[in-house]
Amino acid sequence: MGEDVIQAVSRSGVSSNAALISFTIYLVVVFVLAWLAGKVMAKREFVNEYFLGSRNLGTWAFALTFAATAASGGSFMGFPGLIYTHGWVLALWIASYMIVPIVSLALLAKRLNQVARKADAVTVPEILRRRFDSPHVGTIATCFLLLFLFCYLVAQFIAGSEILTVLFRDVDVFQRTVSWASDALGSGWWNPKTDYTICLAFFAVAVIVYTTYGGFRAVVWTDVMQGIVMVLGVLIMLALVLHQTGGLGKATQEVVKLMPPEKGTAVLTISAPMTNDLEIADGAMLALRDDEGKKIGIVRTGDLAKIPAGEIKSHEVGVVRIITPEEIERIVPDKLNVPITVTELETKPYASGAGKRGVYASAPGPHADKNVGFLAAGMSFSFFVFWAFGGAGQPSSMVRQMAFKDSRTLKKSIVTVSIYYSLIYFTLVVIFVCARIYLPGRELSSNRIMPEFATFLTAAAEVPWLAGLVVAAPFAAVMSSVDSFLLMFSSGIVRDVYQEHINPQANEKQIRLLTYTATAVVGIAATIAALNPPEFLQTLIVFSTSGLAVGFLVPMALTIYWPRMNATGVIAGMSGGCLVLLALYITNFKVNGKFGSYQLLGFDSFIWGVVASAVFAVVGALISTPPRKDLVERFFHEK
Amino acid sequence: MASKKLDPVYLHARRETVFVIVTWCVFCLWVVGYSVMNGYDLDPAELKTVMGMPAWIFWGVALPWLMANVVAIYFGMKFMADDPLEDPPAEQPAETKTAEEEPKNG
Repeated sequence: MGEDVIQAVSRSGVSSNAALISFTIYLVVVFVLAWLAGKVMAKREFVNEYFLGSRNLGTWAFALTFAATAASGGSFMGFPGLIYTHGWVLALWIASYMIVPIVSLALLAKRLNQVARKADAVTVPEILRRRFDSPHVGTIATCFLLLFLFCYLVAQFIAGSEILTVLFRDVDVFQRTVSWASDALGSGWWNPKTDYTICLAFFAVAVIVYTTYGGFRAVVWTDVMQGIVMVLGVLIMLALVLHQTGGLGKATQEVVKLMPPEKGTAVLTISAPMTNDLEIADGAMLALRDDEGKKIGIVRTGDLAKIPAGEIKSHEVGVVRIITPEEIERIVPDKLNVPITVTELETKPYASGAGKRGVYASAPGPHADKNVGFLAAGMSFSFFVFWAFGGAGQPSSMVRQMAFKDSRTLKKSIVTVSIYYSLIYFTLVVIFVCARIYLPGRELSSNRIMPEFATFLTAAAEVPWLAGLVVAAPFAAVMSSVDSFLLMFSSGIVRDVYQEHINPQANEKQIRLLTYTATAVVGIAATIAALNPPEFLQTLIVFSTSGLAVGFLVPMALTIYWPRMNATGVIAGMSGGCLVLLALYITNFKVNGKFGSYQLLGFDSFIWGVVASAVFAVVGALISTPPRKDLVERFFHEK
Repeated sequence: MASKKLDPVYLHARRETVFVIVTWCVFCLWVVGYSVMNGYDLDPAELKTVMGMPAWIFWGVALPWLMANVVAIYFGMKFMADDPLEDPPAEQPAETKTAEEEPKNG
């Protein structure tokens, strides 16, 4: 079937097997590290080593595993896409990361580490259970944790697979494999996503194997390596982009000229029917011409278009219409093997910023649907709260805070992570503001801008092999998050469910077997869920992240800092905060017709969730019985 | 028993938390305050740049970011106390612990 199709646009194929080779080397290193970690583990006590690396992390290991875990697929896929779409305002959107290291590492870390040691706890729910000597609080915390974590895990599997799909798109071996798999599995429902499915399988096998085998130490060691890859990738891209643009000043001047494009649909038409099917690849740059053939506009397709044999029109495809005159002048349309005309073009101007220059260099940033623009003033405050305190409240970050060796490690890590985040996040803004100039019209596939721009820059600089390293950066970000979440999930099952409720007398052999099985099964379950991602996935990620932070931040802070806190307070804070968050998401569904964060009084739902969590936790604790004296003594007084 | 002193690690951590919250407030005011007042709905003809970036980004984001790193260095190197965090249970060789030992209430 596939051989009968004519391609209307010949891809230039800037990526190459060289990218695949450097990427493969990267993966080999990951596996070697996992194997070494497995060797270390064989000599130590299993549970503490497998889930917490024997609480012995030094500065580099702790700082980089903390930073790499926090930088997920979103940081390298979604974030660059947002910068590309909305411009310089993203620097303000992400600005809270300047203070994230100090907030997330100094707010809870030292005390959390101490309390976890005192409680001999390996997981977050275990800390709560031991601190209050209450099995109920542990069980409820485990339920919240597992529920939200699973959504997040699935999203990361999807991100990892999408990155691989872009990276391998122009690699011969991969294309042949996809073509072979498509033929083998037949056409129909399977066909369009074969490439994604193969990448998902590859990603899942890689992550599940090394995480299951090597445990926490493998995760940390690979995080360190991945953390280095991430920062190197970003710095290399910065150097290339500044070289390409001739300096940031010039790039900003160009960006100021840009006007937001229009998004819409079109039908692609050929003059006479053909005997074979015709395909027009997504991302084709097509010229709009007047009767005399003069170029009067440019559209970029967002979907693969097909014109069946015997017909002259494609189905409706998503398009982006470039509006800025200088861009229309500059862009060279793709060379076509068959003349194609853009017909039935219907596009809509942006709700905010349409027809205006300078919007990409100014707040609130253009937006296709929102009249108030991308970042209304109230939201800039919400995000300053969200990144700092939302990050501090993530159980994955708490687990790492339980694992560092001593307070010296913590102190050095605060400095290291601060510098690390500055190098990553602000730099990403600079890079992808510039991407607008070179790769226009990517609004419909902005999530892919990172690998696309990396491939573009390395090809332009004639160092295509570097694309492997640069594209490995987002992949490393996803991997370093997935492995940590995978491990947290299995620790929840083994430690908080099995050992706590099913078999408290379990011996090491049983625990080991169950741990390996749980890690692998959870990974496989996430893979299956990722096969067919739900439409509102991105919202689900935000909801899960907010839910975890709302559920754990205030209850945990009060658990370790307030002697009067008790189990009722924790349960009230967790449930109250999450219920308010859920209620606001449902309100948004009722008011705006879609599941998403409702901005009551201009503030994000997360803020209301945290406030509610604090109120419920404090009131819940005060109206119930004070905690036992022996527990307060144990956790708040000198020995 | 009741007159036992509060754990110094707890006291230090509490003091450090206050520092962190005050620091967050200062930077929030600087970044959000400055940017909201100077970065919204700018006329492209009047848009100035500093070090290649829009001026409001430089004064409202880049500079405070740099200062936040300075504060982090001060906090990490000077302000935060060095505290012992070791496990209170005696340092026996870490053999497999049985679940029976664990739920002691201290």
